[in-house]
Amino acid sequence: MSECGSIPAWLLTGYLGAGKTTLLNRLLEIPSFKHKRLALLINEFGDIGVDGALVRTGEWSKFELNKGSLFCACIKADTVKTLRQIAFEVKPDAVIIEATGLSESSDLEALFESAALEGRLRTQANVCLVDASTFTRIAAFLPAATRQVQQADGILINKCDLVDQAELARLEAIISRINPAPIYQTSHCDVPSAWFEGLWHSCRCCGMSQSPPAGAVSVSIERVAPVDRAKFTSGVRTLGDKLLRLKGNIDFGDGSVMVELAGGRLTERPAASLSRAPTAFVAIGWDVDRQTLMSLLS
Amino acid sequence: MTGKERVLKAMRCEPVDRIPWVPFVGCHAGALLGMAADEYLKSSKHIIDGVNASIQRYDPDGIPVAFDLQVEAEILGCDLTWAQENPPAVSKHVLSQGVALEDLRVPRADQGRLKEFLDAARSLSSKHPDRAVYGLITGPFTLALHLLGTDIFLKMFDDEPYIHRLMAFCRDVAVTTAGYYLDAGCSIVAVVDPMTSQIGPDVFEQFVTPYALPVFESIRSRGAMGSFFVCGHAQQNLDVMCRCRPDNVCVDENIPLTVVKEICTKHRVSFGGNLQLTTVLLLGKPADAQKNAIECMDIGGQTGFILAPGCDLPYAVPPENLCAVTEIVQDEYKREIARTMSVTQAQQCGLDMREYGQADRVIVDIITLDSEACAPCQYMVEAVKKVAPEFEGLVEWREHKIKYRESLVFMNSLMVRNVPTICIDGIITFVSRIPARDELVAAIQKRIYDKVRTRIQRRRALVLVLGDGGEQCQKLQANVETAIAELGAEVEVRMVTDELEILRHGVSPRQTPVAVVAKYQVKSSRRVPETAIIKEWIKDVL
Repeated sequence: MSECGSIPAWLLTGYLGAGKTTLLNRLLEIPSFKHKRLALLINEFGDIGVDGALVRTGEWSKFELNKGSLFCACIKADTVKTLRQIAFEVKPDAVIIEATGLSESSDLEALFESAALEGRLRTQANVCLVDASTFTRIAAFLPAATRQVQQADGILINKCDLVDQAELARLEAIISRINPAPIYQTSHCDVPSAWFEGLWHSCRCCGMSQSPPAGAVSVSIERVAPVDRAKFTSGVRTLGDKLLRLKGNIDFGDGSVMVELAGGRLTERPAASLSRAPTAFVAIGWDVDRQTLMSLLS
Repeated sequence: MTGKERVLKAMRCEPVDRIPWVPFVGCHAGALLGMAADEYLKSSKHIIDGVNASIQRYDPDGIPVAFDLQVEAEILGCDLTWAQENPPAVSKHVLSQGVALEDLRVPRADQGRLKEFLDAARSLSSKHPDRAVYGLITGPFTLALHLLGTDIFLKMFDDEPYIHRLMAFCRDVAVTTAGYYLDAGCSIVAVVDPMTSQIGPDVFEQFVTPYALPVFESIRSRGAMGSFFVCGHAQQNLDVMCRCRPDNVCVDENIPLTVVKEICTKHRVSFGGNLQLTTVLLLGKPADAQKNAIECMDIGGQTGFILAPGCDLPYAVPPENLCAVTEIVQDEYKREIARTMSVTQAQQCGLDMREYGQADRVIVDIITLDSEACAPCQYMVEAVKKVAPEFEGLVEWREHKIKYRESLVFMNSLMVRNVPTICIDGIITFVSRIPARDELVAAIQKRIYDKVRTRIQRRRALVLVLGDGGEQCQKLQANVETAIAELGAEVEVRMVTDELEILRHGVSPRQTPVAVVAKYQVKSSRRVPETAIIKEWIKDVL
C-alpha cells in the first residue's frame, strides 16, 4: 500500500496481439514488481484463458474475467466484485490489469472512483501497446484503439521489426498527435524498466485536449467503369501522408490489378479474384474527412 | 390494460396508463431458483420455472425468455466457457479455428440450447398471454464477432468482401431465429447487438445497417415488434440504429437517457432503459433502485418509454431492489413517496429533535403526503382528529404534508422513512398503518403517563417571600417552610427584600408580604434547542 493508503494499479491496454501478455511477463521481472505482492487481473475478449495461461506462474494472485470487454456494463458487476476482492481481501502492494483491446480505459478510472471501491485503488500508470503492423489498419474501424492511445500515460510501439522505418516514423507522428505522452519503440516488448517506472498517471480523458484528436476514417469504393490512372495517382499524391492504407482491386482499363499502399508505397500485382466490381478497394485516411478521401480516390 | 398491451403500445409510441416495466431477467432467474447459471441456462424446465418465479416476484409487464447471446454461436461451433454467475462466454471463435464460413449453416430450431429456449418461449407465451414475452436473438455484428473474433476489425480492411459475406450469414441467422421465437408465441424480438458499441457510425452504416435492416423488416412483416438492444458507449450510433427501423431502442447506463430520448423521438422510435445495473441494482438498496427508476421515468415520460435495466440483470441482484422498482412503477402513491424521500435524503439537513416532546401537552404529528390527495393519509389524519378532543386540550395534533419543504425537513429530523406515519411526541409510533381508535388512545395515554412521571422527576420549585423582612414576612416564610416540611417536598424558600427585585415580580413593595411560587423544569442541557421546540415550552407557561 502506498503512503496515502490506496493500492497502485498499472493498466495495460492494446489491441489483441499487440503484446500485452509478453509485456506483463517482462514487467513481472523488473525490480519495481519482482519483490512485491502483486495481484494480476487479466481479461481478453474471446480468447478466454489463453492470456491467463501464458502469464508465468509466481508469487502473485491471478484473477481472470471471462466475459467480453472489460469494463463494459455487462461485466462491470464482475469487475467490481473482483476489484473489491483484490482491494479488501488480497490487499496486494500493486495491481496489474491487462485489459481487452476493446475496453475503454476511462471506464476503469470511473470504477476506481466509484463508492464500491472506497478509494482503495488508484491508477499508477496506464500503458498502451500499439502493434506497429496493425494500428493503422484497425484504427478506422475500432475507435477504442485510438481512445486507448489517447488515454495512456505511456505508449509502447511494439513489433517495430515488422514495418520499415518510413512507416514507423509516420506511425510515431500519428501517435504523438493523438497523445504527447512518452513513446518507446520496441520489437518484443523489450522496454527498459526505467521507462516504465518513470511513468505517472494523469487523467487524459478530462480536459487535456480541448478538441478531439484527428481520427482514422475508412472508405469503401466500388465501381464498374475503369478508373483513370492519372487522376487516381494524382489523388494519392494530393492526400500524401493523409492516406494511411489502401488495398483492393482497381481496373485502370486493362483489367483488375491488386493495388496496395503500405508504408507510403503503392504496389501492384495481379488480382487474385474478382468477387465484386472490377474496382473494389478500401482506403484508410488520417485527419481527412470521408468525402475528400472518397472524391480524391474515385 | 394488460402488461402486454402496455408494452406494445409504448413500443408504438401510443399513450399508456402507466410506464411499462420490463426487467431483463436472465441468469438472475437461476439465482431465484437457487441454481448456478451453467445449470439454469441449459434446461427449458429451469428457464420456465425461473421466469415464472420472476413474474411472480416482480410482476413485470414484459420479460425475456432468456438472456444468453452465445446460443447461436455455440450451435455454429464456437467453444464456450461457463460461469456460475454469468451467461457463458465464447472462448474459441469457430472461423479462426480453420472452419470456412461457407461450411456454416443457419441453426435449426431443434438444435442445441436453442431448442430449450424455444420450448421455454412456447410455454411462457402460452401461460402468460397478458405479458409481453421477449425472444432475444444475437445481433448480426455481435454474432460475427463471436464467429470470427477481433480479427473482424483487421479483415474490414484486409478482406472487406469476406466481412460482408459473414454479416450476410449472421443476418440470415438473426432473421431465422427471430422467426423461431415469433412462431413460439413471443410478441417482441430483441435484437441484442452490444458489440456495435465498438464501432463508429460510418462503419456501422457500412457493415451493420445493411444486415440489421432486414432483420427488423422480417419481424415487422410478421406483425411483431423489434427492439434494438445495445450496451456500452454507443451514443455515437443511436442515430444509425434508429435508421435500421426498429420499433424500439434499448440502451444501458453508459448513454444519458435524455440523449436517447431526443434522438429516438426524432425518428419516432420508442426507447427503453437505463436503470444502473451495478452501482444501483446490484450494490444499492431498494431506496436507491427507486430513486434511479424515478429519474429514468421522469426523463422517459409517459409515451414511448419502457423502464428496463440496460442489460442482462446481474445474477446476484437483490430481489428486493427489483421489487422496490415494481412498487413505484405500479403505485403512483408509492412513487410520490419515494420521490419525496429521495429529495429529503438529498437535503441532508434536519432539526435537532432531541428535546422534542417535552411540552406539557402531547404532540401528535402525522407525516403525510397530503391528506387531501392521498386516501391512507386522509384516514390517518381522521383517526387522530377524532380521538384528540377526548383528551380535553392535553393533545395537540398537526399534519405535516411532505410536499412542503419544511415538512420534509421535519420528517427527516424525526427519522421518519415511510408515509403516512404517526409520531407521538416525536416518537415514531404508527408506520403506514391506520391505528384502531383504542390503540391510538392507549398510545397517547401511555405518553401522558410517561410525561407526568418524568415531569415529577425533573421539576424543581422555589417559593419566594417578598417583603421588607419584618415580622409579617418572617411569619409567612415560617408557614411556607412548615408546609414544605409537611409535604416532604424538596422546595427552596428564599426571602427577597430588595425593592427593585420585588417590583420585577410585578408587585409593589407596599403589597408585601407576597408569596411567589416558581416552578423550574430542565428542558434541555448541553445543546441549543430549535426555536420551534422552545415555542412549545413557552406555550405551556402562557
